[in-house]
Amino acid sequence: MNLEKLAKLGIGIGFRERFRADIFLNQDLIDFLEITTDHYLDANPQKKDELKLLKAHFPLISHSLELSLGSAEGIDEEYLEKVAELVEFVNPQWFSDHICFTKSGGVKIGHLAPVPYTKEAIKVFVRNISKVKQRVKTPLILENITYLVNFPSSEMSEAAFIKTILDETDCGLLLDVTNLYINSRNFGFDWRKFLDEIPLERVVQLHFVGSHKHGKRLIDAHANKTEAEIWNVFAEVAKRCDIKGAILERDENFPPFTEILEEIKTAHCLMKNANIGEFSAV
Amino acid sequence: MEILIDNPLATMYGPYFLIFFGFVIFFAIIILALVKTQFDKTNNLPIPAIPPNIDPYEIAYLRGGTNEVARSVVFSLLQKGFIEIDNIATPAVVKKTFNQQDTRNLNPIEQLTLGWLGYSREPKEFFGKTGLVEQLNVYGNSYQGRLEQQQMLTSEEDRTALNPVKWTVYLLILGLGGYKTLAAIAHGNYNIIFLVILTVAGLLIARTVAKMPRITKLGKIYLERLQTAFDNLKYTSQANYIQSFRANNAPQTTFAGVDPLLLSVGVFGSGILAGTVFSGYNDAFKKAQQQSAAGGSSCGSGCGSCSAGGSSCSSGDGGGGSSCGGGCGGCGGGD
Ligand SMILES: [Fe+2]
Repeated sequence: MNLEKLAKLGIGIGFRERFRADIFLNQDLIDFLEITTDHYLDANPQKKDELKLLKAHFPLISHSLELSLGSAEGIDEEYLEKVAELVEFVNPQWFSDHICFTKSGGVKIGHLAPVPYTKEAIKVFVRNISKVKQRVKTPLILENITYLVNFPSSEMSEAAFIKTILDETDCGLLLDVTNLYINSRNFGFDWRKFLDEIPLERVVQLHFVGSHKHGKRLIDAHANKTEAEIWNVFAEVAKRCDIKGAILERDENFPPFTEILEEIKTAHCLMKNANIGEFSAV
Repeated sequence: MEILIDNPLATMYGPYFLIFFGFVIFFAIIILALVKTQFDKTNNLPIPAIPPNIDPYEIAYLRGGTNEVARSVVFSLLQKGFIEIDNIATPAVVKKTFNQQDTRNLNPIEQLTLGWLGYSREPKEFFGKTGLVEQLNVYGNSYQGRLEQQQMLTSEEDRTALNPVKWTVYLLILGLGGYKTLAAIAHGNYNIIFLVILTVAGLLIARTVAKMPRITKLGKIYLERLQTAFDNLKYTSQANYIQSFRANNAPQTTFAGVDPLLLSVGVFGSGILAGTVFSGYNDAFKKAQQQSAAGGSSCGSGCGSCSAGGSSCSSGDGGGGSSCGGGCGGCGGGD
């Protein structure tokens, strides 16, 4: 996949219904939108109209949740067909899903579950991704997730696991800098070393949002303003990669839209001027 | 000349003629309706994009003409605290408040309205011959021209294009009905009441059907699109005004400088104010005319817009203060 040829989309937000009016009033500050594919599969007429409306005003990227690329049982073909049809309609530069599994025995497990970093798991991803790529010709990019445990059965690091999958499937990376930061804090590793290990030339898009403190851990609740430490990860990645787009993912605890726009402006600055200095923590 | 009163049509048995005439009227009106819908092919045109610096007054004009602009501008002045409505007085009175500073920040439509208001006016005066609507026609004409250019409003030219078909149908109904009436009288048959009723009813129905809608199919699609885009604004913009009285506070603004509640009124009408602190406004104005008879001179210049446009720095809803003016060097977003 020739990732360099993908258009630069800029900075956008994950579309949520409650942002709709504000998004239209601030079109000139939002470069593109990421829609959650699953919200538009089997959509009612209102959602179909909404999708047409969004498509008429913004470049769109579709981001699905349930391809379950890590499921040993294989891809749900009915779901894949629906995703493919939606991707054809949206006609995005690329589409994305996660490096995880979300279905087991055909049953949705309701969250993005990590897999042990083994050669066997890599084979499963390669097989499933090849099936997806046979059906959908639009470039597929894969997102790193957060996890709560390190599997003892893992045979390699997360970074090595991601690198092997990307190399073997020729996919791009949707690097969620918040997830990377959260994992690095929860498991005490250096996110810079993680960046050294992954194929940075494959980073196509970023996700960012603030982390959320839950007891001693950080979690990705998509409910907080992006903090200085995460902006630092963003800035470092922006410096080292030719990013095509970055999306602010906010799903909870919605602030005034001006705060969202401020974050978008900050991300714009970091994309444009990757030499900006370190952010200071509060 | 005998042929004129002695032919199958003239001598046709009355009830049979009424059935025949009814069919003629029915099919003539169907053809008229079909031709009329064929005139408006604007639904095949690309739908205009929603501009970021949207003008609520222009949307109000599209929805309901100059009357709706008047309603929106009065609401805007009320929300900004320049006027108030005395609903205790009978009839209700719209009057200026003591807060008349900073009128320079008002846009031209709002300034004109405030000037016209003088000290106080009754709501019905707004829509009368020397009323506000008349004053606002200068802006209305400009909106009309622009929206006609975008083919969202029916132009006078489009309206007259239907005239040949329309008049043919009128003449057919009137001619056939009139001829049979004269023929009946010539035969000494004066029982023509049903024939006259059918002729008049046919003409009235044809006249109604021949009326070109003010908004084109494209205009309707665009309005629906706006209503989809700003649907949630209808609720979020109201919320601040339901719990506490904030009519004299500065209106909430979005980053783009468009007041969300005013935009909601423009897009959905003043009905959305029911249940808010502005419901008194709605009560005072609800009896006013819905339709505007704004004519259409084609003038492309923009009218005063309530949107500030350009500046991307304003305070957010409920105190999410934003830092202004920082170029790339000013990214302090990390704190
Ligand atoms: Fe993410």
